[in-house]
Amino acid sequence: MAARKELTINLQGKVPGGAGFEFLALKLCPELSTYFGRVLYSVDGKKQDKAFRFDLGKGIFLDQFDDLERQNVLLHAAPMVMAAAQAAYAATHGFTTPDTRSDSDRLEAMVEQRVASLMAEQERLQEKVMLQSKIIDQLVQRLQNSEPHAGQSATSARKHTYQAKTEKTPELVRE
Amino acid sequence: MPIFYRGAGVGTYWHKNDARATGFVAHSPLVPASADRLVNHIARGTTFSPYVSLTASYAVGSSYASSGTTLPTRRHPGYVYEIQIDEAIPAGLTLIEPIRDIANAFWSPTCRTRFHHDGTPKFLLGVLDPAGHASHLTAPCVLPPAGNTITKAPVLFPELQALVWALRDSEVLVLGGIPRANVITRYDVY
Repeated sequence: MAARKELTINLQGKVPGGAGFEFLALKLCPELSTYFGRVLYSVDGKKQDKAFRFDLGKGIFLDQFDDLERQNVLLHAAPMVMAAAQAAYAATHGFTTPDTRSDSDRLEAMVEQRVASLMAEQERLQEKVMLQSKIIDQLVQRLQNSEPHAGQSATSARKHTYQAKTEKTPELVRE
Repeated sequence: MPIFYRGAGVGTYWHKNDARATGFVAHSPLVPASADRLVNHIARGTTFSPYVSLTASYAVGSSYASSGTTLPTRRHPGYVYEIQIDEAIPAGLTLIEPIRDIANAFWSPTCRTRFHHDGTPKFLLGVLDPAGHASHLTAPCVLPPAGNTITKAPVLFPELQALVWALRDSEVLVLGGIPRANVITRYDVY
């Protein structure tokens, strides 16, 4: 049976130890459970094969000591293990980092974002309209400048202009 | 005849000791039972407690069985015990539905109830999954417009945590212990 994939969240330097304990890493096996993890630790610098069980839903160690000193180390470490897990979840699963804004601030930010996008859209449309009116002006100018040839009717003059345009089209396309 | 389960991860007490031979005994059966003790048992994970936790869900039991001091393997699996309790509950066995007991113990029509929060409707997501939805726990709560300038996080008492987590685990508690006759079988989990 293939070994299960585990997520490893480094705890060294993030979670203070004590009573000989040092917390090394939080191991999560999403295949088995995303609610429970194992906290690897060392005792007096020696890495242990076993780990402490950690409930990520409750933010507590499932293992407890009768020895008060050791138990206090676990109690103080639990919130920091949880914080490390939250940061790692935000980074690896797309969860957002804690948002401390109030609802009204969040709403205001959403409105500002919407207004900015509408203004950008308006600017884009204005540019498009200006470009189109410039093209129309140029076309009108060109029509005014092209005088009918002597002895030709207005219809044949328009036909002449049309032919000149269609002859130029391939070049425009190539450009 | 309701059937309940209890998971035992590798390296835990009920993994080393076969409950089919001994039955289940609480960590501290002589500690007096109380509503506060019950809340602490669920919300704080206190083992200094006269209660034994069971679940109505095999899946929950299996999750606990998977969370041992080492990962379960085929050679060293975690266990899920199956416990059957007759409808005529044996003498000396007390089954507790934590939702009902907590709701009854901390409900008052005239006082603010300790399992009410003042957060947004998504607040419970944060209680249920603080790793993934921490923002719902810490977002300043919206207050009535009364010139308040100090923001605060929503209130969260252990009673609400206990209610939510009891529901999460489909949890039922037994006071004191469970005789071995009620521990029907044990499944391997790896």
